[in-house]
Amino acid sequence: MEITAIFQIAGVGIIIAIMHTVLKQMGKEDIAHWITVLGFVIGIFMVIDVIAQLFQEIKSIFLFQ
Amino acid sequence: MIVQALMMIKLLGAVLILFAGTAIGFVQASFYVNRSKQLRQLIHALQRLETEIDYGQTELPTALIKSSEGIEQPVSRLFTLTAELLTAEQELSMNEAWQQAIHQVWDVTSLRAREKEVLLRMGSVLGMSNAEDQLKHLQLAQIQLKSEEALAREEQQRYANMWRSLGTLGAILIVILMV
Repeated sequence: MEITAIFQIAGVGIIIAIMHTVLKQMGKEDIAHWITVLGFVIGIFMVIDVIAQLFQEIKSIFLFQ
Repeated sequence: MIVQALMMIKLLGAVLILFAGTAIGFVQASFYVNRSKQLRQLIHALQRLETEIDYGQTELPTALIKSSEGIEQPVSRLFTLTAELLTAEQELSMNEAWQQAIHQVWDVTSLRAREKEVLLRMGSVLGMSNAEDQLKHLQLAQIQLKSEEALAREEQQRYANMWRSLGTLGAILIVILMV
């Protein structure tokens, strides 16, 4: 597994956090929340393969021995 | 060698995206800055026009050209174009010339629909009645534009900075996603 994915997600998190603060400061709370949701979705898309792998592993360990 | 070249290309692309994002942010911010600047210029021009009508009793085309002097391009074009239309086509009324000029110049300016309405209403009176009535309408338009300008300045302080940082941040986000 690559370590870069973790850094990538961390980077997205930081950027989204800064965007959220900037938008909130300017009184656009609604857009700020949508940005946060968008960042969350991007993060999920990044780890979706890894999570799928994890479930496959669990399945093969516990269910189909 | 090839790996290094690919890295260079990636880096170049990242820099380009960063540059483009920042540029988009600055363009959006400049819209707000330009709007309040152009509103100020418009107010100055109307004040000048007021003095021309009041003390100079100048003819409208000359008064328009004089009031556009010392004002920067997109706004001053509004006045000079009206004057040109008035002198070139004699059958055109002041109102029609003013409307045509506004429609032609408007897309180049950073001004919004509310200012357009104010100016159009003012133009329908200019050159129609006696000087006193015209002056009243000029003053009314100035007051309305001044309140718009105060609003625009407030918006500029808030949103110009926001757009600048958002442009750069969005570009960084895209770069991170593509690495």
